[in-house]
Amino acid sequence: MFSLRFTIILLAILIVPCLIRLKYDLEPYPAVMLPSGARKVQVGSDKFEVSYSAIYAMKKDGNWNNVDVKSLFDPIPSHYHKYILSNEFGLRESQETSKLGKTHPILVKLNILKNRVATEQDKNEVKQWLRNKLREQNFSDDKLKIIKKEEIISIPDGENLSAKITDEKVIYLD
Amino acid sequence: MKKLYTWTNTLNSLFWARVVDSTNLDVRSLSAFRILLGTFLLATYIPGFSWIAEVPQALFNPPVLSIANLFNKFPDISFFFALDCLVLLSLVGLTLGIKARLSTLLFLISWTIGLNFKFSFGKIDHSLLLLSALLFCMAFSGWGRKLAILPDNKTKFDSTSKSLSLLSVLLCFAMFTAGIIKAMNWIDFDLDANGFLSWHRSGYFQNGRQHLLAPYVNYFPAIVVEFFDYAAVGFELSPLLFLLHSRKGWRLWLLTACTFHMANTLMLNILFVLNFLAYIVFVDFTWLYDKFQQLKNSLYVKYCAFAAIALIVLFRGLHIFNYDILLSPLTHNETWLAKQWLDLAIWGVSILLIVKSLNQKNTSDHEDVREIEKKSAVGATL
Repeated sequence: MFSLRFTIILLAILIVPCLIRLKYDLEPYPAVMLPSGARKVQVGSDKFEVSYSAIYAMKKDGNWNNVDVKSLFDPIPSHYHKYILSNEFGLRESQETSKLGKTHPILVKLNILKNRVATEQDKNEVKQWLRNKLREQNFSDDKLKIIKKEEIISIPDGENLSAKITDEKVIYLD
Repeated sequence: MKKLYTWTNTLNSLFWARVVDSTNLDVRSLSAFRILLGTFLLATYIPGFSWIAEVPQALFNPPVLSIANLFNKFPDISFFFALDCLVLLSLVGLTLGIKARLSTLLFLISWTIGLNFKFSFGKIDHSLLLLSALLFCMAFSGWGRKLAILPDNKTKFDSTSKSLSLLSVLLCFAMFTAGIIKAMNWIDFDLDANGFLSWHRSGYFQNGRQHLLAPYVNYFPAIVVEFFDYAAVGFELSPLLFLLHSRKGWRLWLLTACTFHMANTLMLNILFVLNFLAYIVFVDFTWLYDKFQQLKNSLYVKYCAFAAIALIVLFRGLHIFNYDILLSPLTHNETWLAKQWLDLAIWGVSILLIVKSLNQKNTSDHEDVREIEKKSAVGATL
């Protein structure tokens, strides 16, 4: 059967990634770890707050309309959309990396933590990609807007009780 | 110091002996399971990564501690085409038993690399972890020695007992990582705050998970949802106890796991269907092996099997080069609902298989068991 040495090595392989996630909030891949999803909500409340990002673009008549996100991001699966939006399609400097780099300079020195800022060529590529996608949906292709919304929803009937815009960012594609 | 080492060594031997006793199976069972697994994956899940080459490079944001982080951008389309072809061919090799050990490892490595790039949009998907662990362990189980077109030779690296025991320990640890944080937050004896409901509400109101029993969860009393919190923690922190208790204990936990997933599908519409493979691998499939042995003598069955696999390979191969070829005629909502019903059916069958196996005795290869008993005895006398 497995020797004591094997067991110790196995424990190290299993535990070290967990400790890294705990201490540095970085998850190695691959690693034997499942997410906990240990959030809680108030039970008695009859309202629920949801926050999400929506994408708007301009129609020919000058009005801002909701963009079909699934088509816009196609072929990228939907559960990655919010991460791409938080990074503004790679068009802004990755502040997350800069923050981590300040607290973990050794990771930067070892070239593990990289300052992933898109080159001009990459930015032009993604802008062209978005322009094509907007044209497919009959939108003007010069800009789009990312709107972060917070909505309060009534739990018993699912009705939208209130909505507010918490952030708005226009991305110019020309 | 020597006494401590001896004591630790003995504990180690006893631990693994208990785990082996709870999990060991005949290699024939795993050979039959290999065909089942391969056929299921070929029919329902073949990962494709060629689409990643279509995506702009500015979206490349790989996990920091991963192989993809060594790259500065997404690789070229030819890389992903080659990867997809390797994934498909190695999966066919695994299913048919064409050097299954090598095929399994090739599939696992190419799949893991492809997934690494898929996760480079900003999120690691954990729904495939247990399948990865399963494939890694099974590669060294000897499951390619029987029911195989090109059987693996027996080597010192193959051990059915070691593979299954390692897999069971990995399962226990994975569950522990999920359960320990939950335990710190959800065991609060507070009926006003609930963890299960946080999963339900975010899925229900944000992700459109409003099918099956999900709408009725809103009417569950506080005491019921509080019980779900404690049950989830208990389920995720208890597998090692069941594993060490007995063979029947381990199967009881596997039965609980399948029930847990089925309940998640019904109430939360969360699908983790591929996990069922990591649970039913512990079921004795020697009856299926005997069936396959009978069927493989029939030319008609052989031709049908090859034709089915050839058709699957053709479609999946075409899909690598033309993603639209497998577009479903169903709407997004209908597809989602169909997946949930399939999920329920799979969990139902898994539950039945595990219930059937609850009273089965250890039918493992006697040579393997004798070796384990010998090593445990040596460990105990030191």
